[in-house]
Amino acid sequence: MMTIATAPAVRAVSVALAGNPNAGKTTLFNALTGARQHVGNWPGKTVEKKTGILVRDALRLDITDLPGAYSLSAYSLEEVVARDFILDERPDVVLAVVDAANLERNLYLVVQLLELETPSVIALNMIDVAMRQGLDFDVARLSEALGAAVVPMAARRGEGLEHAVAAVTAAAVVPRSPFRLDYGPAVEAEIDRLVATLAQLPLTCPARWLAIKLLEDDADMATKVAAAAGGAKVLATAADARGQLEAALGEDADTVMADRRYAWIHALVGQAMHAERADVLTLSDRIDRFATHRLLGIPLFLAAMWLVFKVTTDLSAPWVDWLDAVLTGPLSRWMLAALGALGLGQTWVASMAVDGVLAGVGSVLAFVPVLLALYFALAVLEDSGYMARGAFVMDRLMKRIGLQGRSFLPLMVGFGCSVPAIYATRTLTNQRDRVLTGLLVPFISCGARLPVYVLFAAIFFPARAGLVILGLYVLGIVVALGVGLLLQRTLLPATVEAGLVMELPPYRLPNARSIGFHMWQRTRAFLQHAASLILMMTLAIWLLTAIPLGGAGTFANTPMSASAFGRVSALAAPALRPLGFGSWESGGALLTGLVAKEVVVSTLAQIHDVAPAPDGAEATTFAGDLVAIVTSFGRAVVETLRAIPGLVGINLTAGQTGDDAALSTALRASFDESSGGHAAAAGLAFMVFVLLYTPCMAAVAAERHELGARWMWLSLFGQLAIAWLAALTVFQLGRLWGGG
Amino acid sequence: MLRELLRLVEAADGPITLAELGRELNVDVAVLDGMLQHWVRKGRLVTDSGTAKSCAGGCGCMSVGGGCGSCAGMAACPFVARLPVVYRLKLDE
Repeated sequence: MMTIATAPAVRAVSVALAGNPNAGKTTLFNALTGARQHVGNWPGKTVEKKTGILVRDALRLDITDLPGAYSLSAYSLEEVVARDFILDERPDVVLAVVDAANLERNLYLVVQLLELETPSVIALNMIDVAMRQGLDFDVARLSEALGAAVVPMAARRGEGLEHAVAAVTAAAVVPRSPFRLDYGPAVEAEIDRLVATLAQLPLTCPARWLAIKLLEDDADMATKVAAAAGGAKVLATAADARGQLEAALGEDADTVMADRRYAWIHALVGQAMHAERADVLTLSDRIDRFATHRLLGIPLFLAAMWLVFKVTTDLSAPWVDWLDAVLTGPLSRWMLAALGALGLGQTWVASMAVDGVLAGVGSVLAFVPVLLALYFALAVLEDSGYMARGAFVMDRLMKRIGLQGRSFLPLMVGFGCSVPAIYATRTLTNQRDRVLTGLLVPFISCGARLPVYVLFAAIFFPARAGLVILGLYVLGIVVALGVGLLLQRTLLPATVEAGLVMELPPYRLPNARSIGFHMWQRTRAFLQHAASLILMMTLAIWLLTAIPLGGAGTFANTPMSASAFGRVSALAAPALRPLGFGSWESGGALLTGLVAKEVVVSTLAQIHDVAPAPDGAEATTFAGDLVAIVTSFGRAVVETLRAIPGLVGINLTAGQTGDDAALSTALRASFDESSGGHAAAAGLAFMVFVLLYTPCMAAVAAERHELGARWMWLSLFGQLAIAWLAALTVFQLGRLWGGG
Repeated sequence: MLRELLRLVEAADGPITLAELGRELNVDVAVLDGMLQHWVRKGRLVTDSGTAKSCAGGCGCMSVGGGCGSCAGMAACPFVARLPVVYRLKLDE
């Protein structure tokens, strides 16, 4: 407890400091009491209680800082504490602090404070801020209407404090007549009837105020009245009065009275406050004229989403390549060298370590740059306030498939990666929307499928690769819309929603610290959830490739076609035959795609034996490797910077290497054979299949977490069926068309 | 004013921003917020703060008690973007 001043005070005045949160109440309390404060809790409550003392000559003010509240209707703990203090402790004066720049909202509490009939003073705080905003006040008019002294002040600058103290002192000595808001003839008649009934009770609060509270059906006050002798009769009268009012006015008494308060305050503010620049729109309002425009809003939002997609794919690509090069190069060599030193160089242990563990770690790490880029873009949109506008403009469109505008966000995140997109459905209001959005997310083409499109489009449609890739993205969206409509009419009927109001935050410059925090938090959370699963699946695939079946080779040293993996893949081939790619090679690539879509291309390269020569064969030194890692890191930085101007352009087919060319030849031959000479149609069908079939294991696991097992299985097999049918259609039509 | 606000929300053809509603009623957005809260309390509107809802159960970041084990709480769920506060009419299901 702080030291209490012991000045020879001859008169003590108890003062309750009340006001809305952020009205500057605490600033005023500190300015008045200085260091003479005591901080504790309200008895039996977790709400902080602050008391302090101000001594002026022969006057001592005992000031209690009440919790910030928007009304005295006992809807929150703060409101109960504030109300009970004024009712039970009966302070000499209530000093009501209002934010002058938000006068209308703040006056709602003031009116309720005044109805308590305690002598009051209104501190028109932050007057300096309000004046800078072009607001001007008729203080005399305010004072007259409210029946209390109104003191303009800027507590933070210490301006108006003395006037406030003088007004408080005067209010304690010479109380004004009680404030009375006219609720209209019908309500006033019922108030009078209740006041007459309340005369039977031993009251400790003003009868009119209690009558108002009982008409408002205030549960707290009703309980107190019920406990008093004769209380039951009062409550019966109150119930009857409420019924009469509702019948007469067509609305409950609580709403009628609140409406009256709002209207009275609105009229008063109209008379007592003048805004010089009332018609001036804020910068946010001006931007929103375009950003939330019914027609312009959607293309603007889609352009923003395109930029997010480009940031995710283009800025992360150099880092994915760098990580891949480090893992398959120096790290693999060091691991092989270390194992060789232990005498395990050419054993299955080395194979598992490099092709299983290291490849698994690589699969996990490959997500990191993509996720960091994606979360960077999303954090910028969130922090700037634009994300809220996106939800707003997309709401009308998303309603058509029975979803809310917020559902667009997870779908959009799905362009980067399905896993965080499925987790992002957590923000949706109801389970039905979460399930439907979560089921549609995997149809949106994630970044991991892009390498497959780039390779196949370049092989089979070299002249129109960009168009084909764009078409695949559009197809994913169209299928998602179709599935959404189908589910809306079958398993997940839309709930009727109407009258949506969104509170859009003002635009602001994104904060680097906040963006960095979100990037890290989300990427870390994703890795915590998905890393172990991806690693496990990679090891399982390695094990299948290591087990020899049919007598060829030994464990971890067998041709892929003769491994358990090859045999399992071959089982899928007949089902893929009508789609034009019914070979074990294609089946195997699609099988590994269940682990992560990124590995489809590398599996194809491995199966067709066109993967780069083992890096271990190169004659390098440890120091040379370190230099290579550092220089390639520098190259990745430069390439990332170079990618920034290209964000507004498209360069999807760039960077095809010699390895890709060898793979191209092998794949064209393979697809030519499996499709009976219709390689292009089969290639297109393969891309469509990759776009639509079961998402990666991490996404499936996310579906199970977020949606439940039942929906996960539906998604898993449903997508497989849709992909099969779509690829069948594409191949058969392509074959008829003559796509060779 | 309260009834006029509810009428406007009911009659709105598509989503509407708080700022638009404020301009329509000639009322400050801060006041409108209090008025909307009144209708939320009366059960005529429902509000959604845009924070995380729980997942289907058993997910790694959810503790047995239903809270978020690895995060600071639902409001701090790292997977959830900060979306606007929404009010919508509560219709009979």
